[in-house]
Amino acid sequence: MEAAAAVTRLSFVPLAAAARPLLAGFMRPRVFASISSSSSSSPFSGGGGGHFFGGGGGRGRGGGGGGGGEEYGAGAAAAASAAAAVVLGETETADADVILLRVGGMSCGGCAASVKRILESQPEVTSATVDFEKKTAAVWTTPEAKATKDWRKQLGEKLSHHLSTCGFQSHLLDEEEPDSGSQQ
Amino acid sequence: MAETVVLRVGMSCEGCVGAVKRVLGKMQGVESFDVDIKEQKVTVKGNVTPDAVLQTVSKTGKKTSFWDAEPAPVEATAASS
Repeated sequence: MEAAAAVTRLSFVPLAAAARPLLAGFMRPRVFASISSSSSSSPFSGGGGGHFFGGGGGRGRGGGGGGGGEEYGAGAAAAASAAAAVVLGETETADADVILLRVGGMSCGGCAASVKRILESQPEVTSATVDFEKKTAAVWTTPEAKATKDWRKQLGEKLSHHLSTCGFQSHLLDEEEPDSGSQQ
Repeated sequence: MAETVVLRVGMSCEGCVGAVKRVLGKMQGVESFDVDIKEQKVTVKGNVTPDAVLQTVSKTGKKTSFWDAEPAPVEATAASS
């Protein structure tokens, strides 16, 4: 289980590592804007806010030194790994971090992209993955969103309600969740 | 007083059309609307303001702009809660 969780989390590292150089190259100021709006480009920055800032510092040092791409890349990768470690440390299982929703009304990739945009526009959401064929959406949230005991149920219902008002009928996937026993 | 609002909306399939119809169907003041997927055109009539309609349709997450602003389209792609 831990191995599976690790694999699940590590699969995000390449994306994060790939995204950061792009942002650092010419959109450095927007990184903070992104943090402020809670719509970060990296799934991990939500989970490890402090580390994300640290990571930013790392990039700054790399850039300042002008040592070259390799050193900079290594720094970014290290920051991403650190962020991943933080996220892993905060979770009991990988499943516990994800809210699964049933989303109707999607017929193509365009619909899925629309649903993803709608979900990720919410302040509590760090990232979302949508599968229109399976009619499901997986949502990752900020740590603050998990303050209450039944945070998943509350937030899940809020998100599904919002999706429904945006034209995509949705509800929380209680029955299919591996740890549905945690529901109150 | 009745108002007619025409929008350009990026709809890829009937699912997209359905989403737009659902949000317009719930919008207060809307008396009727027409959705043309081929022209990517949405026409709304009723006691509504252009900005309110634009915002409502934008909620679907699809690229939305006023129809007659073709020369310099005003885009509202962000879905706000």
